[in-house]
Amino acid sequence: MATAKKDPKKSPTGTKTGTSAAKAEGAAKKTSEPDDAAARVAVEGFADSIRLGTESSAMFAKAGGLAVVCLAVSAALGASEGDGFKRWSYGYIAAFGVALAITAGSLFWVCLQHLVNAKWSVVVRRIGELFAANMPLLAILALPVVVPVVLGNGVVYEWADKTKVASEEILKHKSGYLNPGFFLVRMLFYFGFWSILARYYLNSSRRQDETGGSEIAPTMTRVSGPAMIAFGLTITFCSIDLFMAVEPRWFSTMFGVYFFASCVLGVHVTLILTLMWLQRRGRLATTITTEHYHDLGKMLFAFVIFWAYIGFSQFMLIWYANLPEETAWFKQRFFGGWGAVSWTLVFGHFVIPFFGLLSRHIKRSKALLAFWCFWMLAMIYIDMYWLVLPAINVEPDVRAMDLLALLGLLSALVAGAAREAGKKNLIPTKDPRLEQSLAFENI
Amino acid sequence: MAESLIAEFGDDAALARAIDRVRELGVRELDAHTPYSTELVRDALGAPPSRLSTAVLVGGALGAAAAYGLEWYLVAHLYPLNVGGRPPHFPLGFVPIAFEMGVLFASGTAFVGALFLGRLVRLWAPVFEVPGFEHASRDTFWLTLKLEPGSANAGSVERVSAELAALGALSVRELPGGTA
Repeated sequence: MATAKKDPKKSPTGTKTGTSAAKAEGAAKKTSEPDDAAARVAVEGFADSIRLGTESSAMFAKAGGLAVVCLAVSAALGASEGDGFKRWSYGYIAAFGVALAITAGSLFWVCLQHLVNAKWSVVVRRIGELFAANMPLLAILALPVVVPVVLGNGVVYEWADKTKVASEEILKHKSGYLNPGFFLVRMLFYFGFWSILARYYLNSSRRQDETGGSEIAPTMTRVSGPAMIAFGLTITFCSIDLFMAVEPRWFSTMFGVYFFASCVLGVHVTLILTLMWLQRRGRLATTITTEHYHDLGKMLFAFVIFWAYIGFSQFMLIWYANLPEETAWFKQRFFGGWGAVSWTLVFGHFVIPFFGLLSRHIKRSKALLAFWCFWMLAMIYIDMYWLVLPAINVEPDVRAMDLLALLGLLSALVAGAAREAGKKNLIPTKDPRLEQSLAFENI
Repeated sequence: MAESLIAEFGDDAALARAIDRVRELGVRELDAHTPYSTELVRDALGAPPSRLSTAVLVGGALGAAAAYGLEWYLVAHLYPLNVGGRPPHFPLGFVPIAFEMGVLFASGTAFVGALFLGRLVRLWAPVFEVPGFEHASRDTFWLTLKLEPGSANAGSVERVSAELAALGALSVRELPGGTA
């Protein structure tokens, strides 16, 4: 290393290692002593590590590599089925639902914190902003779902196939909305809008880190009102287009809210687990306290109940009205081969975590909270699987390619967030509410 | 015979200090009467967690189970009718009534339990005979304690009374009827 520096023209390889080593050295120096304006925290006596530094690129490489390998193996297994990726697509859509829930949920969460001018969550907000900024990545990962539809391939979405639509009255009737061209337009709109909004929040927040401008926070609050309305509409229609449209003969007006429940659960699970990982790596060690975990845990608990409330409301209306075009969907899930999965959701997604997360003591214990986060993450996936897969499988049939798709997509999100975190701050250093967030305590 | 004392204080901090002091003297049986719920006094008394929450849980669970049982007995057992092909017994279909009855029984238990645990049905207690005690619901803070004759640390009534007066008690009296 030292020789390469002294004699840079010794050999091409020597030069290369010399520069990269020097670069890494410079980067390490930068993270250990942040001296730029953005890193200065606007709170007296603040002392904590607020940057990932070089670990960001290491995490990006690890998670990104895992994502590529998992998705490649999953796709290869899908191809080996020899059904034109039909079976694989269903598993991929279910896994994509979890990734979308986490990413769209993060965007919702960031928007919500600005909307209500939340103080407790300021130290956590940047993590949400980073995961929301995965939206363009998610748009790329949506291609295996969107491209076949645009090409008129009806393996998953029957309404994409012109001949099928022509042969069935229901599909013909719905083709004004469910057609490949309009589907593409909607997808571009959803992901475009979300990407711009997520980028706006992250960039504004980072500009605040640099300039400390007092006008930035109120502007973000003003934007979040209309943004929240637009989010509510886009998430509803997007979930209908991607997941409800898998079974185009069935419909439920509560479907959008049902998926939204997964979004909010997804973001809280992600935030809690990410913060725990960061703290184990010595980042934000004193910034994030039990009080912040307690509040995140409360939200997780609340949305466990919210999910049950929405899921049950959807069920009850259909059960009570007893209309054949609606009940077929639940009949297959409760009385067909999927009964065990349905009851797993009733207990695993609601009853057990309800009692599990009820106690204050549990929400304030890192190990127990982490356990329930992993539990809920698994349940969000089982829920998505239960929504999508009965369309093709009469009985639950979990394949390695389904789970690899899930692992690949989640790793991609981690890689995207790690890359975006880069060497920049993990908290908004000049947010006017930062001091209150640091001192936050539950009564 | 055990002797009981009652002392009056001007604010909750003084009452909390007095509680800590008589604890040190070895007095076990203590109670406080305050115009409003105060954290200082509650912490000083160190009351055990209320049994009410457990009672509410049990009441709610019993109510829900009873409602579910009744539904099953009527709808699935006595008169199983075929309504639109739906099974007579499907647990999720029974949830709303079981839930409502659970809530009703839980709130009923909470209401009755709070009355019972707060001994609110009684119309008279010995402390009511203490002159000025009506201020306990207005502006002064009261401490009652019982001195067990056997306890070595507690010392005499005079000793404890003197301590309480030194801690800022506005008045200290013997309570003839006991603390209960």
